[in-house]
Amino acid sequence: MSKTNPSRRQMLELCISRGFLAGGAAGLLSQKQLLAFWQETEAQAAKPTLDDVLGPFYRKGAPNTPRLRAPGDQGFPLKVTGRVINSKGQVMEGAKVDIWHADHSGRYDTTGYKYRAKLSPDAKGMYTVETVMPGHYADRPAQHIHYLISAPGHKTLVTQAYFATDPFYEGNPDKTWEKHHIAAHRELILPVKLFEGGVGPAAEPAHAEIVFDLILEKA
Amino acid sequence: MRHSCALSVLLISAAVASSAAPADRTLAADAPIISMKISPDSRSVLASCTSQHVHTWDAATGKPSADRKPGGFLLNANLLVERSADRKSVHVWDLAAARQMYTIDKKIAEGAVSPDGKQLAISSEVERNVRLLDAATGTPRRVMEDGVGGSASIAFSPDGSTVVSANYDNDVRVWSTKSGELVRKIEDFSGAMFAAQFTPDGTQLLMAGLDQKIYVFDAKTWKLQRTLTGHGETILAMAISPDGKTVVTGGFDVIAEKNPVKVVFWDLASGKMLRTVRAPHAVTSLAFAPDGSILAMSSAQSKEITLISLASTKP
Repeated sequence: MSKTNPSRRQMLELCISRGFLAGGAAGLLSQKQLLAFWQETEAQAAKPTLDDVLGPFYRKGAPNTPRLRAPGDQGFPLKVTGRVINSKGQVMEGAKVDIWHADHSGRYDTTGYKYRAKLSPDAKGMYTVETVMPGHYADRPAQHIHYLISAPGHKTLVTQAYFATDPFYEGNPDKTWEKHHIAAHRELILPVKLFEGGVGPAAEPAHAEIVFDLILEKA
Repeated sequence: MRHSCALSVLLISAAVASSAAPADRTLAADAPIISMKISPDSRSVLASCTSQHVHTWDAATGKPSADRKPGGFLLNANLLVERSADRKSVHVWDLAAARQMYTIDKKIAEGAVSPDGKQLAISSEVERNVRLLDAATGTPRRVMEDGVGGSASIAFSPDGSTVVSANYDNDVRVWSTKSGELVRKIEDFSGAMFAAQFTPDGTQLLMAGLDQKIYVFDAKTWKLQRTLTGHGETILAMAISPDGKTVVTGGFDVIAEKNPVKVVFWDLASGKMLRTVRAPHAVTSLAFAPDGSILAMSSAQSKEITLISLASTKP
């Protein structure tokens, strides 16, 4: 595999240098193929997702469900999405994403599977969960979501997602991210988008959204 | 602790007592306690604290007998693991000799020393392995591949021939310390086992943790013999009495709140709950004195150790 990348990159460079990209198809490669090359090259540069600790609350056997939030649950609705790929940009067959977090009041379900799921990403490698913002608890007072991602032929990734909007980071995670040694890396504190609720019965409620791509290394 | 007097009475009536139990005691440290041990001669109680001190008390009188630096995590009543300032390595200290013996160039998730004090097992979450070292010199002996997340608890068999790692990924691995070979992998748990301990005769392995149950395994066949249920809280600490008859478990109710919790005494043979006592919040450490005279317990964020007097079997 290591030889495939430079040759593809070289080919792309060749295309650019000969004006195929600027000048159109020129009979060799279609725009679509060139675009695919671009996309793949971009994806190939993907850095593996940084890791963090597993923590004590992981439980095997969670259900494969994207809907962790039940009607009436306390806490601000949160949608979490992302791609599950490897550092070559490939979707990994058989990838599984274990995700778990504390409830609104900072409590983990230690005997059942509330706010826990083991997801199979779709054919494009996408995953989504509908949940609530995790609460704060004394031992680790920054909101976070735990991840354990495995795929055949790849190194299992253990990581966590944190929230840049968390009051714990005092509005400035660049400065405060190492506070209490909670997040292992600044990059794991993610920007949060806020959405106003729609109108009508089918509309999404007001909610927060984070995008967390999970990029695994080959074993 | 007032309520534990009743416990002493119960244990005395249940066991053959030659004298009335001495009063229960509270030992006060200068800062919250990280780890706690009782010396092999049962005379001293040691606690390492967040103030980076190790306090020692006379178990019989409750009087402080030593106050040493540095602080860290007690592996036993003499070996201490001190984390380096940059958190990237650990120093291992011989407390009696007041000597830093060696440095391990790793961040360790968990560590344990064999009952004879000769072998040290350390778990690395980053390397996903458990290493066996010579406890006196730090010389590496074996490297065993482990799961993800690091060890939640490590236990040596009484004869030191077997070491068990209960991992945060819920799986338990059993290795031979002589060959480093994996003897058994137990994958049936759906929650980490925060406490693991062999019975004093080495015939059983007890594990307990996230799912609030206590699992009793045959230490030869590694088959589950019995499950003790009813603790009702996540179990963080466990102790087995020196005669192997009584098991004590403690833990936490809700991590977000410092709720009072219960410490449960079990009869291992029948699996029956003997008695419960209250603890102010999350019990992180439990230890029987080797002579069976006391049970010591400490709680998260607490500066105090509670000594519960048990039926004295000493003349």
